[in-house]
Amino acid sequence: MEDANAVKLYTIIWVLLVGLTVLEVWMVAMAFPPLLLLLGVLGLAAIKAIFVALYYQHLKYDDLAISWFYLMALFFALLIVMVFTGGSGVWPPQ
Amino acid sequence: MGDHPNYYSIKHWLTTTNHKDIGILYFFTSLYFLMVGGTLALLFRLQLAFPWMNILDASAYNQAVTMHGLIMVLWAVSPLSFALANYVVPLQIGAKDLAFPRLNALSYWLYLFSGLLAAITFFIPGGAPDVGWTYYAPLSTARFSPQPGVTLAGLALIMLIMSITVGTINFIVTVAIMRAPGLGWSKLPLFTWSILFTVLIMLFAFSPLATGVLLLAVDRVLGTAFYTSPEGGAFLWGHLFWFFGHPEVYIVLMPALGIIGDVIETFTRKPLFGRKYIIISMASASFISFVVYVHHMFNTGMNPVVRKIMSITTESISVPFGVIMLSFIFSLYKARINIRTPFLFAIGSIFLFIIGGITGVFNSSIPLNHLIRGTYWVVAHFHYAMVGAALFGLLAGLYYWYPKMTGKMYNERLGKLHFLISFIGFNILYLPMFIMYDMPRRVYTYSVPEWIPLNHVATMGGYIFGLSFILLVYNFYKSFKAGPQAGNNPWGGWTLEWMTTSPPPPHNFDFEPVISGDQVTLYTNGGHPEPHVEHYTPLPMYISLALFVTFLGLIVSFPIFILGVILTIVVLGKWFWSDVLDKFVIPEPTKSERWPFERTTKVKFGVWMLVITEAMLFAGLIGAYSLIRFNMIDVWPPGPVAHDVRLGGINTVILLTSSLTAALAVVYAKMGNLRNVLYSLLATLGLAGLFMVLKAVEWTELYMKGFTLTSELPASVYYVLTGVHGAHVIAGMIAIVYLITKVIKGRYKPGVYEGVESFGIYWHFIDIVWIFLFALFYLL
Repeated sequence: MEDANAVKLYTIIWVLLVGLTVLEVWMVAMAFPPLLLLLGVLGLAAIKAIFVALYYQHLKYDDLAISWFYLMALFFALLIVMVFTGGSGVWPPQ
Repeated sequence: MGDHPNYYSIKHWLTTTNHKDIGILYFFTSLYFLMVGGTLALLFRLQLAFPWMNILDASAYNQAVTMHGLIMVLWAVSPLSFALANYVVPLQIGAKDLAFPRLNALSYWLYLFSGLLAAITFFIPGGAPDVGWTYYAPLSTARFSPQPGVTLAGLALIMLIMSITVGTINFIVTVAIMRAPGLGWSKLPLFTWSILFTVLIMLFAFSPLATGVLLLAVDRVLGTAFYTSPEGGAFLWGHLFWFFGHPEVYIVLMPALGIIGDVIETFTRKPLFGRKYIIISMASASFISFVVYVHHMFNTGMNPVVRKIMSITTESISVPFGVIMLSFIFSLYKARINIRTPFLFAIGSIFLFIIGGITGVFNSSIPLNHLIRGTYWVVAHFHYAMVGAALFGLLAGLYYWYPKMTGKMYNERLGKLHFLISFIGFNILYLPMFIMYDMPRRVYTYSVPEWIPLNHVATMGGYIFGLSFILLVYNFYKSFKAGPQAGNNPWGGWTLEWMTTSPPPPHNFDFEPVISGDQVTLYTNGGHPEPHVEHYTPLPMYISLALFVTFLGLIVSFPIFILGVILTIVVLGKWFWSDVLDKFVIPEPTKSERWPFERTTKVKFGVWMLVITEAMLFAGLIGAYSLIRFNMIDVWPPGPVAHDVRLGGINTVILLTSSLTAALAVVYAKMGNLRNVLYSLLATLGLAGLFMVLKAVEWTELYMKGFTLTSELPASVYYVLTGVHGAHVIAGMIAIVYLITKVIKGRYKPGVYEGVESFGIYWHFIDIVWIFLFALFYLL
C-alpha cells in the first residue's frame, strides 16, 4: 500500500470506528429490547475490533499464519466465556 | 558485556545468555527442586506407611502434600524438559541460539527466584500453603486460610508465569523462523515438534491461570470476594484453574513423547513408523487438551449438557495418544534394536503411559468419576501419566544427550541398573494405589486395616524409586570427571545435533548447516562460520532478584517491598537504556527457513505472541465477568452499573484516536519522516495520558459514591478489569517513551520501522480490549 494512501485509509477507518461507537451509544439511548441490545452492541464491538486488527494491526497485510494464531485465541476466549457461563448451571438465564 | 568470563567462573554462570548454558542451569535447578519435592513425598509416604504415625501432624502433612504437588509439576518436571529443550532445540534446527538470548536468561532467573519464593514459605509464620496444589477456592481465600504462605506461593506462581510466558514466546519464534535452510516442517526432529506443541499449549493455558491467581491475590490482599461469594466463587476458580490444569498434563508429557520418538528412531536405526501421524496426533491432542477440563469438575453440580460434552471430548483424547503409542510400538517391529539406557527408559515410559492412559479413560465416565474422584486411584493414574511416562521419557533424554552435553560417555551398566531399580520402585509405589481405590487421597492418616499392607508396600516402593536417583547423580558426576570420550555421534543419530562436536562450540556449528532433499545433508561454507555474538549481562538476574524482593516484601515488610519496587524500576531502566543504545543486538537471521512467516520479523513475531497471551489473560477476566454477571442476573443493577456512558464514550474515542496516531507513526517511519514519527508518538502518548486521567476521575467519582473495590462484586469486577487494562495502558506509555527516546537519540534510521510497528501491534490490542470493556460495562 502506498504510504499516502495509508494515511487516508487509516483516517477513514478512524471515522468509521467513531461512527460505530456513536451507533452503540445510540442503541442504548433508544432502549432497544435486551436481547437485541446485547447482540447489537457486542456485534458492533466485534466489527470495530476486526477493523482495528485488520488495518491498524496490519493483519490484512501480514502473514496469514499470524491470523490463525489470533483466531485460535479468539476460539479459546469464546470457549472460556461460554463454558464459564454455561457450565455454572444458570444457562439459559431465566 | 562483550568480555568473555572464564567458563568455570561464577560470573560466567550469572551472566551467560547462551542457550546451552541456560539449559544446564535449568537442569541443575530442576534437579534441585526434584529433590525437594521428592523428599517431601518420602516424608508423607513414611507418614502413611502405618496408621496413626506421628511423623507429620495434619497441618504439616497438608503443607508437604501441597508443596510436593506445586514443586513437582511447576518447578521440577516441566522445567526439566525446558532444560533439554534449551540445550537441544537450537542444535536440532541448526540455529546459533534462541531468538532472544537475553530473554531466555530472564526466563531462567525468574524461574529460579520464583521457586525460591515458593520454598521460602516453609520458613515464614504460618508455614507453607496447606490448601492442596490445586489451590481450590474458597479454601485458599483469606477467610479460610489466612496464613501469608498461601499468598506468597501465589505470588511465586505469578512470577513463574512471567518466566513461562517469556520462554514460550522465545521457543515459538525460534522454531518458526530460525530453522536452518532446507529444514522444512516435515524434516523437524520429533523432539523439536513436541517442544513446539508444548509451548503452544503453554501460550494459551497459562494466562487464564494468571487471571485466576491475580483474582486470588486481589481477594487475599485487597479484600475482594471473587472466590468467597456465593455467586459462583468456587466455580470460577475451578474453571480458571482447570483450563490450565488439564493441558498442564500434556505440557509435562509432550516433550517426553518427542524424546521417545527420537530415541526409538536412533536405537532401532530406522525411521519411525507413521511419523506423520504421530505429529498430527500430537497437534490434535494439544488442541483437544483444552476442551476436556470440565471432567475435573464433574462433581460440582455443573450443567449436565456441558458435562456430557466434556465426557465425550475426554474419551476422544485417548484416540491421538493411541495412535502415538501404536506407532512407537510398530516402530520396534523387525528392528535391529540397540538396547542402551536411553532406549530402556523410553520403552519404560511407553509401558507406564499405557497404564496411566488406560486408567485415565475411566475418569471420563461421569458415574465412575463420582466413585473414584478424590481417591488413591486418581493419584495412581496421574502419577503413571505425569511421573511414569513424563519423567521416564525425560530420563531417556538425559541419558541420550548426556554425551553431547559433556563430551563424555556415562557408565552403561550403572545406567541400566538405574532404569531397573527405578522402574521396579515406581511400580511398587503406584500399583498398590489402584487397589486402594476406596481410600480417600487427602487424609494424613487412616485406620482401615485393609489399607495397611498396601500403604506399607507403596512406601517401600517410594524409597526404592527415590533412592535410585543417587545412581543417576553418581553416574553423571563420575562420568563427567573420568568417563571415556563420547565422540560427536556415539549413537549414530540422524538429527543435526549429532553433526557438531561434543560438547558443541558456543556458536553450535563450525559450518552453516544446509539441508537438501529427503536425506539430511550438510554443506559447509568453507569453514568460515559467521561469528556468534556472545553476550553476557547480569540484567536478567538483577530483574528477577528485584521482583523476588518486591514480592517477598509485599508479605514480609513494607520497607522491603518499597526497596524491591525501587530496585525493579532502576534495573528495568538500565535494561531499556541499554536497548536504546543498541548494546544487545541479535541480528535477524537472513538465510533461515521460515515458511509460513516470511514477512514476520522475530521481534514482531514475539510481540504477536505476547498479544496472544494477553488476549488469553483478558479472556479469563471477561470469562469471570460473564460468570459472575450471569450468576447475579437477578441482582445485577439494571442497565449500566453506575457508569457514565458519556465519559466511557469519550474515553473510547480518545483510545481510538491514539490507535490512529500509532498507526500513522508506522506510516511515517516507513517514509523515513522521523519528525512526523516523533509527533505521532507524542500524540499517542498524550492521548494515552488523557485516557488515564479521565479513568482516574471516573474511579474517584465512583469511589466517592460508595462504589468501591470491596463494596459489591460488580464493583470488584469493574475495578479489576479496568485496572488491569489501565496497567496495560501505562505499560504502553512506557514503551512510547522508550521509542521517543530512541528517535530523539538518533537511533532510528529513516525507513526502519520494526520497533514502531511492533509497539503498534501491542497498542491496538489494548484498544481492542477497551472496545469490549466499554460495551460490557457502559452499554450492557
